[in-house]
Amino acid sequence: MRRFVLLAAASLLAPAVARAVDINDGQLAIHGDGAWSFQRTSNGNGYLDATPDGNYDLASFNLVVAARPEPRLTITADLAFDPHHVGLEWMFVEWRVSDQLRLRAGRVKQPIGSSGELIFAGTTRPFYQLPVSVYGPANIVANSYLGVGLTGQRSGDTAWGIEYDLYFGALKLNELETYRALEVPPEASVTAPITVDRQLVREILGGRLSLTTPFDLTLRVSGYGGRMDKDETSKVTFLVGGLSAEYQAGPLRLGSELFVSAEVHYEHSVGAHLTAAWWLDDHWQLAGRLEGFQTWVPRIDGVTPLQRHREGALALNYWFSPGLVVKASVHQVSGNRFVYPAHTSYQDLVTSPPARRTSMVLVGTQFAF
Amino acid sequence: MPRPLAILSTLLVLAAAPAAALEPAFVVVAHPGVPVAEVSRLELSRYFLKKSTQWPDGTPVRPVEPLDPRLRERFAQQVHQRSAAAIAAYWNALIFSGRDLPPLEKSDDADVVAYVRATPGAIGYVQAGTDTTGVKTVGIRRSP
Repeated sequence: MRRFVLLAAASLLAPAVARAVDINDGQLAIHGDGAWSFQRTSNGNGYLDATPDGNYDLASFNLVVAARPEPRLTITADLAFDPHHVGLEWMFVEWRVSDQLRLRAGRVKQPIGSSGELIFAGTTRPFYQLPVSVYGPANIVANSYLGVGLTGQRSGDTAWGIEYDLYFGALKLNELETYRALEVPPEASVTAPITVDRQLVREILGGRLSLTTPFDLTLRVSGYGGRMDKDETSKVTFLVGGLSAEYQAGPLRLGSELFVSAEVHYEHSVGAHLTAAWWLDDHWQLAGRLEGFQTWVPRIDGVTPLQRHREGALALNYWFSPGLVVKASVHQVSGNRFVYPAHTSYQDLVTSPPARRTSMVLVGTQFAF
Repeated sequence: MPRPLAILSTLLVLAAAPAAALEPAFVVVAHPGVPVAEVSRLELSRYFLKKSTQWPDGTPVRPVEPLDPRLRERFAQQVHQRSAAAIAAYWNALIFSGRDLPPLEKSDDADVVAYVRATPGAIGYVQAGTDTTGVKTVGIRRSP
């Protein structure tokens, strides 16, 4: 506990966040964002990075470097660092033909939903983490696509505006299937420890259309489809689609999304969330979120807790500036779709069902420059 | 619109803001080669949010901002009709999604004017009363 208090105090006493670095009038710009949190769960269950004993080792940092050697050409990369991993999160080259047409190629942030491109950017949202039911290992959103894309926007003489994205290539999904041992017949791997797998989806075609209205409301429809390796010999068609709405006016911020995904003939899932945040003054912000996720599998009779996730959460945030925030939240979870004891196997979840209800507390800081 | 009328319309737009801004808090300046003498509030907002990146003649728009937080707050409230914090959040989202980068920042008004004077397509804003020799003053139209 003493270590936690010291880390929290260090975060609070840290000097104001530095400004971005601009070199040669914007031809090279360096930005960064980072986070640290403490997360603890109850009832012996773990919830993604949160553990029953409390996980302090949750620090991350992203360095965004953008080079603009000429006005129409931009090369952008995001290098990600955490205590266990260093890697290239995304890197792409963009040629701006006009405001209505920008061509992109490389490993590009996936334009999906309201926040698919902002999974690591904690200062863009009221909760420390995005809702797991859409942005977690739920087979809906990938960190990036590998391929080529088009994007552009069009604004008329009024405050209406549209923005589109279209992309082709492949992507890797984070997949967590705690219900695997319930399938009949069970796979041989059900005695192995549960892991978050990386599932490649090939030959994808995806897109997003965003409509900005004069009423502080933004509506988005997004989705993609491709081919997924089901096993060594067969492929399945994989489809994802969803709707997103965001409303920001005065101190109120509302966001809601509904997504459906399907491995055709094998399983399908639905995830949704409603998030609300309210500024109490220039620094304090209160937020609440309800979310749910459920997976249906033809080879499993009915819907068990391993296929279901329900969560309610409350957060209280203190924003020192738009680039530095301390967040505290409490979460109440029902279901074991993403919540289960550590070091357990798929089979163990069936023979010794874990507690269905789990609480989580999270205290953390996020910053950006 | 003749230039005196454009300046008058700028004053009218600013007069619609809170009492603290009855006097024009800022003046919009542009490179002398920029092919407009006035813009609407919405157009100005789009140039600084990089939603419009070309002037009517195809020259790239190069927005630049001063660091002065009070001037930025006034510009954000009156042009974007948002707080400076909300604009900072807007740029955070664009930076970390790899979509765009915010306008250049210059440490003071003289640096903004010097950059605008030297850079084709540049547009900035400075405190009213700043020496704007060598740059064009751009009016703000009331209507779109």
